Amino acid sequence: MTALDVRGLEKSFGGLRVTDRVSLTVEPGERRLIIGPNGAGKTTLFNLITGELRPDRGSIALFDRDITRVPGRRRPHLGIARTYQIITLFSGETLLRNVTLSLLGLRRLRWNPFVRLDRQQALIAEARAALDRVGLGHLADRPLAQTAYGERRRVEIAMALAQQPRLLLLDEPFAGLSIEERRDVLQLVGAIPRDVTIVMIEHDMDVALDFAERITVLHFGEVVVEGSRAEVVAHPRTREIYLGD
Amino acid sequence: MPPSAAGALAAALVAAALFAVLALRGTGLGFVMITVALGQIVWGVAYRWISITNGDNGISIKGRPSPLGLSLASPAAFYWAVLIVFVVAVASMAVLVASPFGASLRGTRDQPRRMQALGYHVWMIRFIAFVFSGFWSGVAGLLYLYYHQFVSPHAVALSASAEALLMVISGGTGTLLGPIAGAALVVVMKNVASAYVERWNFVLGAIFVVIVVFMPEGFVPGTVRLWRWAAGAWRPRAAAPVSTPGRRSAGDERLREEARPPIRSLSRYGNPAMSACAKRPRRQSGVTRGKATS
Repeated sequence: MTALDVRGLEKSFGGLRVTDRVSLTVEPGERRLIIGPNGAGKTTLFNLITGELRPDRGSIALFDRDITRVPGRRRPHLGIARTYQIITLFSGETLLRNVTLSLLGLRRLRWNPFVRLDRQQALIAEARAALDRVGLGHLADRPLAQTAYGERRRVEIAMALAQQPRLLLLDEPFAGLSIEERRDVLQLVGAIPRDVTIVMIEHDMDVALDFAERITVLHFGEVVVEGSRAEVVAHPRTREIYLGD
Repeated sequence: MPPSAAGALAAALVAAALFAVLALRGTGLGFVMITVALGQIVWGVAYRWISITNGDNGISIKGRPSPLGLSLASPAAFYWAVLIVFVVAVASMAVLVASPFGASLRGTRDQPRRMQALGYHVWMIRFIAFVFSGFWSGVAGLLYLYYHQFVSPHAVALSASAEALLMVISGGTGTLLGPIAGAALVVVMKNVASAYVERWNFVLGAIFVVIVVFMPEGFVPGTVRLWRWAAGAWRPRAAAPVSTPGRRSAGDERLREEARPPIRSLSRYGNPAMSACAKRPRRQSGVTRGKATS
């Protein structure tokens, strides 16, 4: 069984081919790192996996189930959760409400127009627990707009983890963070149990290399190198395109 | 309720559903333009299909219905009936807003992409909101007909839609109280000011300009903001800690550095302008940051 099996994925925007015959196999519980220079198509690949974009060609399978034609809104229900490179949270709401929305997304309760949301004690307790897990429990009732950038990154991760995903896609979780904040987030990600498969896009090789077991290098939409950490780092093509030798 | 009224509401629901399917093909300005175009089609049909609508001459009805045997013929009786419907309408909206579905709706307004990634059916949420709104518009139309006992194509003209829109925008979108205040403003101007000022439209226009300049978020949230600002100006020192409640913690120092000026928090129902705040704050110096990528 594979957690994620991407085959021959292609996506073009006009004449620009952003994803070019990408094939990728991620084992259950694996920690996979995707690196590549600007415009390599890393985020586009995530958007294709989450269904935000439709591929022109190719297939995507999640735990051996073909989800190529499953609409994006259904995919979280099948166990895909993601974070965004550019933080997209509900800034007018409290941290607690942000995480509550994440929990609600997978429940039928989200359609209920009659009951009061702030009386859903079980749901709210669960949201608090999710915030505690990322060390933000004490800020639960603070509006998101009044929190620091590093804290928002952790809210993103809390929201993704709250959905108890089987496949977690992290899009540059360390971008824009200070050294200490990076350490916090790395610790947080490192503590995620192995029943969650993680695919991470990251620019910062220093932080990310320790995290990943296997690394995929994307360049102009193509998979250029794939292998273990040592293999990828030693590969001449990696040095050529990514490390800018 | 006479069968004709039930039929009218059913027709309003069907029309709202149909228009929602068409209009929800677009978002933002595209959505607005499609709804305007659909409204113009309705107006054109009402104006030209004379055998049914009697064209510009309109249709008169004789008398008002008597629900549960209570006559609504007298102005007072009709007033109370409308007030009851109004309270039910506002209550239904208040319940909806506080419900999980209301939270879904607000989330969809602020971050539709994110909502989809969290497993929400963004289109369906918008569709339900549209039909819900269409239903209450149908109720309003019915009351309008019973009030005037006359209806002509003017009721569905662009100016009628624009008036409703102005009520909402001037009062404050995304709030429960805003549209009520906005409607009161327009109606009072129309019925009271017009008795004293011949060019009452001019006065109304001037009021809108003032609102847009000083309270772009609308009359109700704007008043709340100015009130808070005035209260803060009275007690400059005392006001600061009130705006950021919360426990002191080790992270508090950093938090203060990164804290943005308090958002114009209006009511707890939020404001679309807030979604703009999702952008990242200015970086403090000495922070390494990853390069932006695709």
